[in-house]
Amino acid sequence: MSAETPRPVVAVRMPSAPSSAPADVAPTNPPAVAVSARDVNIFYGAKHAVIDATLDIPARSVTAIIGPSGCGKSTFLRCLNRMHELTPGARMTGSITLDGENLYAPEIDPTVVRRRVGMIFQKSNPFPTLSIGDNVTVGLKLNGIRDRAFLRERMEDALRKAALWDEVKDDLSKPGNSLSGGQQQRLCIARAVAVQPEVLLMDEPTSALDPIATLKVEGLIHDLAKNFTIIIVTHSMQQATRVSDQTAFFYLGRMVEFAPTTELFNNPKQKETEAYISGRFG
Amino acid sequence: MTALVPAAPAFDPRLRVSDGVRRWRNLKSGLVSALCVLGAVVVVTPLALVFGYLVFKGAGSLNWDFFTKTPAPVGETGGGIAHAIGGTFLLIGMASLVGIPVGVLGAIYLTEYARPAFAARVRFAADVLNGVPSIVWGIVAYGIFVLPGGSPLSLGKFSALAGAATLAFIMIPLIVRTAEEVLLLVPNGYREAGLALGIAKWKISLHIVAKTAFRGILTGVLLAVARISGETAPLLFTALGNNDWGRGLGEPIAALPLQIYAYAISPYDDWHRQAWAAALVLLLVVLTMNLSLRFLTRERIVKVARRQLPTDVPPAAPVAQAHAG
Ligand SMILES: Nc1ncnc2c1ncn2[C@@H]1O[C@H](COP(=O)(O)OP(=O)(O)O)[C@@H](O)[C@H]1O
Ligand SMILES: [Mg+2]
Repeated sequence: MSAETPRPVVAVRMPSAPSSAPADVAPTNPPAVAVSARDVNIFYGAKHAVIDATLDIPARSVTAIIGPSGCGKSTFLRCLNRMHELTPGARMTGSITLDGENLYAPEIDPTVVRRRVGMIFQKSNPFPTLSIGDNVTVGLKLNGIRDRAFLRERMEDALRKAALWDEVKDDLSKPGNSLSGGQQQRLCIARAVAVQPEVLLMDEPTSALDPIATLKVEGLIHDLAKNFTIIIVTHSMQQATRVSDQTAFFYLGRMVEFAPTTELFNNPKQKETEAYISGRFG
Repeated sequence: MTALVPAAPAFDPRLRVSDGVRRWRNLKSGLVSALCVLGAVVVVTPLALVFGYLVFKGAGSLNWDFFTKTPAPVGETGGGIAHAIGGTFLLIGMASLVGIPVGVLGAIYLTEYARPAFAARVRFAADVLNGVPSIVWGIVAYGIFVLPGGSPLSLGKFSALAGAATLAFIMIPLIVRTAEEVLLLVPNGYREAGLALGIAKWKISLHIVAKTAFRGILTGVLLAVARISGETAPLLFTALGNNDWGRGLGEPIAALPLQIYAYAISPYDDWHRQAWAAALVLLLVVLTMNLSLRFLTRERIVKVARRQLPTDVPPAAPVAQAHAG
């Protein structure tokens, strides 16, 4: 991303590691923390939607956020790329850092944050006026990149990463919304991948898809985690177990438990978590 | 859906209706359908009448001279209305040059940027303006643009500029309202998707939101252009009219509606005939502009999509969904 804001080289934060390691040596032992939320509180007017959420999300892995409807999953997710700022009356306190850099520092432009932290929505939303190919490159084009060979290369790369290339390579000039629902969602993933973000947020990305399309997207998420840090909100616990490395359980606006997925589901520490995963509420 | 078939034995007898009731329902249904058909006919009839009558009265006077010459001296027959056709295009062109961008950008501002309370006030103001009778526009424009010393903007005389400015003012609230309506129909998901890609908001507004609403905006623009093409009263007070080519933007200029008006109230039979022909030309000008713009901007991309349905769609909802956008 030569034409874009250079990313400052910041030592990766490792809260759990002892601080004896020299600061200028890149840490080699994973997991490196990509996104770190500290005491995050989010309000809609008087409504306190997320309460004191503190969470360290490891890089290049899949983190699932589960919890009953209305517990603040989407709200929390949207503050990770400052999308909540679009909601009138929404307000956030606390801090969120990406690779150690404060996303809410006064000099940081939310547009740049969103280039580094992409988002996939529940309802797939390819731009209806653009072709399949243009849908993928629109983020680059509207950020001023003109080089056709480069755009073409990025488009193919993004479509391959979204496991869509073979299905659409002959139809790149057809409209984006001529695809099936599942393909549209993968097109949206390609579109987000094309701007090469570091983090991909997904808010119930498969809830509008049929089971086959869902499985395809889930397989894709697994592959994407090689290159991206993925945070996925899901209402399906099965999905969380299938795709994620670690899971955060939210309940009534609080982050109740955060653990490796197998641990959280097999051996929950909190009784709310236990009640939720055993299906006693939600 | 199968539950609607009454033959099933589980059908609740209390839901059964008598033949009389059923006949009454069919009658009501037929009646409403008939009213709808009648409504459609009533809508189309005036268009056919207007067009047919103008062709009947005016087509006979159309000839090459009519489109290429200026009026013959009083008393002589022949001559044409080339100057009025030119004047109308010039006035519409100048008014559109200002009115379309201001109207469309204003609407984008209202839907994408303005606070809702402010947008509501502007919407109300635009609605009031759209209800202002054209004679009122005319007299106010006369005071502002024509009356010597009437305002700092006054040229002190009738002029093409004054006419175009007035038409632009009539256009702007019309375009603002129709464009605003269609911009509001663009799903928020597209705005969010654009923002989540790190695209600047103004680019999303123009390249994604306005582009998605383009055809609706175009319809509003065409309606506004059609409306000002026929405005007469405001031009009587501003552009005044001219029996020849105007000598500049600061001078009175002819326009088709003005020419129709002048010819129609004249005592000469030949001018009456030319008034009919000029009215037919005005209608054709508006129709041609409308149809050609629609043709030039037709959605090629969607037609391709409708012909080639996706073939690998799983047998769930997606087929319908694929075209919902
Ligand atoms: N725009 C909003 N204005 C006011 N309250 C909201 C808004 N969006 C969400 N909420 C409230 O915040 C809480 C969390 O919502 P959300 O994050 O959407 O939950 P989830 O995604 O877990 O279902 C809910 O109680 C919801 O009613
Ligand atoms: Mg949600």
